[in-house]
Amino acid sequence: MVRKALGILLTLFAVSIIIFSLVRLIPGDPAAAALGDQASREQIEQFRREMGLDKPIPQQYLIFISSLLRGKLGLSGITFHDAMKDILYYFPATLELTLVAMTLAFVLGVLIGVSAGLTENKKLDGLLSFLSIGGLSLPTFLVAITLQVIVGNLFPSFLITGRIGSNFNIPRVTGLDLIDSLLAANSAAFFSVLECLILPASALMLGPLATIMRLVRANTLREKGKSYIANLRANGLPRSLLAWRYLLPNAVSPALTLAGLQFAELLGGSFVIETIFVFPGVGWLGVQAMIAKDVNMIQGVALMAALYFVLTNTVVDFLHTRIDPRIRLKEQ
Amino acid sequence: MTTKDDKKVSRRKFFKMGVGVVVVAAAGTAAYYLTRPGTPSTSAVTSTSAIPVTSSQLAQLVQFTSLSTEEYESLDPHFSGGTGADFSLAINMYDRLFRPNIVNGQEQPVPDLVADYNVTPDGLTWTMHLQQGVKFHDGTELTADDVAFSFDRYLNFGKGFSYLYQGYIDPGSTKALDKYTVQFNFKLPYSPFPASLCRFYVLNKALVSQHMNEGQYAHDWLDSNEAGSGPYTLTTVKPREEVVLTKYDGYWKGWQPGNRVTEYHWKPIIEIATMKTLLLSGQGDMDDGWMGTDAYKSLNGQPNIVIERNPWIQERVLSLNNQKMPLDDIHVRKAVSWAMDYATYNSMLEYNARQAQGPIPIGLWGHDDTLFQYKQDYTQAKAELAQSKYSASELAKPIVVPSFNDNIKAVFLLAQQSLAPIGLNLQLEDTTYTKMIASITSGDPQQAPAMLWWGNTVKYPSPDAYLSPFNSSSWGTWQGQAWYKNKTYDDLLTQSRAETDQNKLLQDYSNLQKMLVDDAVMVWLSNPYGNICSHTWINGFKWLSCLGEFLYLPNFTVNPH
Repeated sequence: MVRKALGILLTLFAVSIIIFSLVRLIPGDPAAAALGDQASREQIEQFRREMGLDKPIPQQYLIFISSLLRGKLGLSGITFHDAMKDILYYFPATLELTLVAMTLAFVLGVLIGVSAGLTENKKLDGLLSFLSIGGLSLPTFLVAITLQVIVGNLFPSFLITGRIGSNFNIPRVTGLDLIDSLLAANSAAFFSVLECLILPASALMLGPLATIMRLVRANTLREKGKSYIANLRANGLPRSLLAWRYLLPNAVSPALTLAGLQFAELLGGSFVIETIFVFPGVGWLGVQAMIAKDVNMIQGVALMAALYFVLTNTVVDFLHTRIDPRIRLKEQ
Repeated sequence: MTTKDDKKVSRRKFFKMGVGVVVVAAAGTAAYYLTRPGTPSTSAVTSTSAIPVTSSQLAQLVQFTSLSTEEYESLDPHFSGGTGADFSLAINMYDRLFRPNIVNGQEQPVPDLVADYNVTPDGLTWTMHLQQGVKFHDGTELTADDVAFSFDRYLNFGKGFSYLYQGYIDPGSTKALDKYTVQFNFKLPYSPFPASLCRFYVLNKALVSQHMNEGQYAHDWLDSNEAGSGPYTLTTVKPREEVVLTKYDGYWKGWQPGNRVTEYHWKPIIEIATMKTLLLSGQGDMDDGWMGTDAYKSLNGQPNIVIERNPWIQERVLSLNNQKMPLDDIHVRKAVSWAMDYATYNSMLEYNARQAQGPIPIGLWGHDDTLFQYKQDYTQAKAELAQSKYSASELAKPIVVPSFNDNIKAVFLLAQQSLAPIGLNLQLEDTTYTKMIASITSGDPQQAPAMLWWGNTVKYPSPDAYLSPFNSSSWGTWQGQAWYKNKTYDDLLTQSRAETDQNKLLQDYSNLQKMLVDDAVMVWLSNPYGNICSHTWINGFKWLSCLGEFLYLPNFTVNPH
């Protein structure tokens, strides 16, 4: 556990140096970009000083690290607050969206993948395979806009933007509106959040769903062909028990690794979804920061993404030990 | 004896339980969606403003939702320097000393919080008497003290349009002479002062003073709260998602009869397809005028949709770098002006806009309608080039222009096509917006682009806003992208700022415009029309060109639908 924690810290430290250097290679003046075309030269210079950009690069890095240890990232050129405040505010939206999307993708991907692998119906198997290719090849933004336009026109009162209906103002505890609405014991708010999540999560989960489904199907087919399965079938074991106890654990394990990697990749895809569905998350914030060359925000979002990735895979590693006893025994 | 296996849930039971959970959740969701209220309940709406929402207000709820193609920068009214989103929210939460209005067919500043005012003949001292009985949302009265405090805060904070006053007035020199009289003491005369005050908002001094440590000059606090006296109070802020304002019954101007908006929802919808869906479904009542002509065309004729087209005080130009070869030669600039295809630009790219006439847009007071307008004429263009100091081979060298989005690319392709017959070779170069800004703010005209396509929408109704970018002191700023240097022009501009006689001021503006047109400083392309999409149930709103002004909510009525 201590070794894992040290590994995480080392990874983040390395990322901070890389991001810090890369960001300063982006052309453009962040102060001018932040203040807009009406700003005078004096205003731009003042803002540059406020952001600490007038100092030498090594000093800027030391200021950045010392601020980070105090929980700050420096002034953002977009929001004019400390960048950490904004990232902590917007991150839960992205986390909620990606968690829901990934959970749906994993559960449905596994169920459909196992079903496709087990079925004797070639047509059904073919159809599911075709749908999975469609899910992989369709661009996320196209799916998102199509869903939004169709649902918005068919059901005019269905909420197609935002995180929650306009009428609700639940106290913010975790920033995850699903949980906060439950904590506030407001069931109407809970369902409103669900309503707002359906479309963006559906659009976001399509790619991972297709990938997981195909992997699980392939693993199921491979396991199904093994001799021990034939033996168990010959001994009269029901198909459902066969699938649940023997095929599923073997198929899920590699899918879990894939899901862990894709969960982190969803962060990149979330920008498009967040923009289309007006879901104010950190994906959208990261792109705005890139456009405005908001150095402090870019660094913060990149570090957050790195932390997100590292923690996700740590959780996946843990889950692996629960699912696959061979890994658990090996570690012991 | 029970064993460990007996205690475990069987797979069949587990699946049954799982299916049961799914069925219950689906039923609950369906029940919620089918039975959810169409109007908000009193318990769901909470207020974060000082004045709580009353049950009588909620009982007569008239909701209006506007959709913005851009995010707001900040709810701090002294922060934003040019976003219509910010202005449209600020003008409803706060009051100003002056506001834009149409007078004799032209958009001009008119007194608002100011009952009357005067300026000394030397233009250095402005004394303004305020309206009495204006109440902030916390019930306290707005006085001269609040104005002086707000203006000092504006100058010290140094954001928004405060740059206009640099060198003209210092913090601390604005005085409250008595409860309703405020005096602005300038170091140098500044005639655009009343117009510039259209973007200055008065804050509640007592309230803001309590939060001065929350960010710079209370910026962090003002970013999610308000301290205004305007017709609406801030109820809810969901950053980058939604802002909700509620009607303030105690507004000093009172309320006209009719279904006035009691609850205003402002939403940023960056994706145009989403905005169209919301407008068609009725979840959005109006857009902000920036959807793009194709979007308006597709919405036109749809049920309940109204598309209004209005002349816009906006200038679209081809900005010429007056210091960079070959555009540093006036004859080359004139040749470009003669060669440009204005007809195609205004009909195809601006969808039947009016050709611009000089640097001040049609419709803004101070515009000189006697100014010369170029028409495409290759004979005249070639005659001008023949007088150029550059040889044909020098003129044939590529003129590199930056292209960073499709709109700009279309304009430069048209310009390229227009200039080719006279031997000028425009070469488009892909770049980024930030890189382009950096090249201009470097301060070196040789690093800056040779040409730019630029649009300037009026933000405050003053000709000076369109003339000051040509002052040589603008070099190194985005506005100074023409790199124009003319001492006579600079001196005349300074003189106009000292002019207190309106007739003489108009003459100065006319002379300044003529100078720029005679020197062919830019190619004055277009004064476009603006479109607004709303619904048949929206009435009363008044078109004004200053960014965000048409969303002044007290003008609106919303019929039941």
